[in-house]
Amino acid sequence: MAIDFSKETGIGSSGGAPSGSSTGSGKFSPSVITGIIGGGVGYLFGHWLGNAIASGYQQVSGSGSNDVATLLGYLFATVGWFIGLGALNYPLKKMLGIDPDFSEPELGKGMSKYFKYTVDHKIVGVQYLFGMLVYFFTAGLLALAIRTELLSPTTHLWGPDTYIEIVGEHGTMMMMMMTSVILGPFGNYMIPLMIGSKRVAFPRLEAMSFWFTPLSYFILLSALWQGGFQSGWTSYAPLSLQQGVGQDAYIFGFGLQGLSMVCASTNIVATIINYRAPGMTWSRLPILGWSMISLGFTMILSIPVLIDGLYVLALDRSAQTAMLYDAHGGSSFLWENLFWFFGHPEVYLLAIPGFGVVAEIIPVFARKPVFGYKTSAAGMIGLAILSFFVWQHHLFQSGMNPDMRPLFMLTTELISIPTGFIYLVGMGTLWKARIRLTGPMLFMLGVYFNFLFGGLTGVYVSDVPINVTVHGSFFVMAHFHYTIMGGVIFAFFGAIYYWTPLVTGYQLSEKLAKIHFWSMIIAFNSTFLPLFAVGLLGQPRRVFEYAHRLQHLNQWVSISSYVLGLSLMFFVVTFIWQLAVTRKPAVRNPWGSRSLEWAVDSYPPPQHNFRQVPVVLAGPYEYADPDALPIADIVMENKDRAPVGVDR
Amino acid sequence: MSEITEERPVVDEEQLYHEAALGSNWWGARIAIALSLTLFGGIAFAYFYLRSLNSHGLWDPHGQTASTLMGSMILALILLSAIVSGYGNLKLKKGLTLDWQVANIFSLLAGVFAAGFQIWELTRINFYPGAFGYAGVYVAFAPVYSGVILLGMYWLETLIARSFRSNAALASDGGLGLSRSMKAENFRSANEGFSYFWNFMAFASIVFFVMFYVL
Repeated sequence: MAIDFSKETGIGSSGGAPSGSSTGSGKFSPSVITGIIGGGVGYLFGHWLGNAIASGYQQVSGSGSNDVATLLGYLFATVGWFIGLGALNYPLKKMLGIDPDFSEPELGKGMSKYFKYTVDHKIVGVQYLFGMLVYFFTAGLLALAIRTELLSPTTHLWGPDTYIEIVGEHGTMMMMMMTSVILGPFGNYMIPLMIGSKRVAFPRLEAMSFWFTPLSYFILLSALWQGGFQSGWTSYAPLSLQQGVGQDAYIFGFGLQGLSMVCASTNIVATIINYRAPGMTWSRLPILGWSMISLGFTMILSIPVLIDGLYVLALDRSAQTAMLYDAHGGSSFLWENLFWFFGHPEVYLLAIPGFGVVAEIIPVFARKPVFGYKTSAAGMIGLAILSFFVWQHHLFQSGMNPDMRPLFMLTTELISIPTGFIYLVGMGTLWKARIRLTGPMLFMLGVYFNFLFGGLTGVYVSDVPINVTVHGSFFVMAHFHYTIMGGVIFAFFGAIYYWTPLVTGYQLSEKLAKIHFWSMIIAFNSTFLPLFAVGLLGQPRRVFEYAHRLQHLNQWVSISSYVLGLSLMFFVVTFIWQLAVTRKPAVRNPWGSRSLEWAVDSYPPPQHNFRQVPVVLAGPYEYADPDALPIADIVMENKDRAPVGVDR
Repeated sequence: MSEITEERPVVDEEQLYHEAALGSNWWGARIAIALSLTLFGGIAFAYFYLRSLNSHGLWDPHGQTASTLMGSMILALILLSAIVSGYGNLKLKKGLTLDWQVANIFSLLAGVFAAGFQIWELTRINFYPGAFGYAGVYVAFAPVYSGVILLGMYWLETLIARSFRSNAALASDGGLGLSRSMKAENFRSANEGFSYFWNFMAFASIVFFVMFYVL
């Protein structure tokens, strides 16, 4: 349908044909529309095939639920989606022997390029930004649905099944999204600019990494009208084996997100290692680069294990294997091990990029170098390595060998050391600094404030006695919301305010950013701080009824969550308003950053980033040194366009 | 801020990005190995975990395995494929592109047949997938194994197709094996990456053969 063997393909010529990206302008040029058509046709075919194969199975005829058809539907929908997008054109052309093609077709000025499979890392970054915002706000609405139910311990808005479906959907969507929330928009967009490259190592993998995410979003969301999955985001067996086809949506949606992460991390690792500009030594690599490379390696080594776990679960549900079923020689603990071998590194996959953003932005507004640059990089690497040795602490309560508990308690406590490095690096950078309290900087300081609660409670819950006591309670829920939402999401919004002038060419209002920050941090803390108390007082997670004595605290939390929702809505409205209506042009390098991404010729950056490959002369954080060279030669060429009044 | 006093060094952009592409080939292949290693590692973990737990004595109560004859044939084909491909690479280093092509077409066919036999074997197993622990893990392993082999063969096919398309143009410069052109260097680095990956797969095939048919 969308395979475009036009003259652009170069088939029949001597290789080196442009494209592979799909920016053709013909009537049937691949786009999100052809992707949807392809996905729809693929789903119908897969579902039909699954019914043809498995409708006679005793399991299927007995339950009326055909997991084979559902899973094959998703599988062929994925294939059809990518055919429709034109993503498979290049791999097919490679089978005809064309040489690798690094050219990028010229992109137009319109919006249509954002709805196509393109190989420009900046387009992919913007696609990710808006994609992740959709993910986040959908999951956020589900969170408000949870809090609305918890306004009363006895008067119910939802049935217990629906409630737990919403909880599962919220958790899964958030955890899937969070892994890409920094890497997707800012890693893909900024890293090539920061390292002085005109391109990325594997642009098609990068593009595919994004286009997996809309599909995984819709598949996961579809679980809601397929009975959901009451097993929650962790989907422990045997409950996950007993669910309807909504569980298949979880399996496939999460699996696609895993593939997305693998593609993105492969590209980012290879890009940072190989595409640094001359002079961009490892000791000059921006901290965000260190965080991305730590993240990339962690993903590469953990996500295939998640995919194994999902695959095992899918086979048990469809092909009638029994790997998670004790009575037939399997074990439900197999899932817990496979899942958490990914799941706990994942927690650090979320934190590391957030720390990277913070460490990147703070020196700009502190006008000081990163305190302990090497310590910060070492902390990220240490965090990534140690994250593979802690997963069993999730099994403290579920029946692991008690003799193993101290070992995993120790490894979990050890991880506070590299985390502490990173935290103290931030404090050291702020120490005696002339801090400019801009909107982005406030969000960065918010990360430190929130992470203090999340990190310190993390030390407690790593200890077996406390872990066993607060297991499955709102205390643990508050802990990880402080680390993830309080850390990563604050960093995400700060990054949006910081880099929007570069990405769009428009400056966001400082006043509106500060209103957003203060309303968000107050509402966030008002929402989650009481949940520590709620948890210690005995309220379990994932249960929609609770003791009457906890009603006032729950009402406080729910109302605070509405305020938090309003704060986020305020961001959406003002962000769109400023980009679509007021459109205040950005000044050159508005924050006075030394980093290379701001040295491009125009905002947004031109298609190929730099007119010439920059030669890096100094590090990106030498703010305090008046004799420091500019970061690269191209900065001097653009110095006449430097903003007035910024202390450099 | 200091002024830059030195002359701007000359950056050969084409050479810079050519070397970056070679490095990316190197890293891409190693990352593919790491991904495959952890993917198969998860299955190996499932195998040993369930085997050591032996829930209800049902890991493999009757000592049943998939067909050892078929398993041996699949292993032999993969090993043969890897060895012949390696032999072809030796020839390529001497500039004998045609030998490389013939060897790797053979290697490709052996790999495709191995994947085909693996799928065929899966349809002929003499136990129910959920009958016992071993059965489930084997049913999980076989599609992943054949799928990764087929992906590897896709990679090899693109190399073979590239060699046919490019070799004539490079013949005067020593062919794909000896030419100093960027095109040839890129080809050789991609081929070297595939070679590492395929040797890894041969090793993984031995390990899983021992697990599923010998232990």
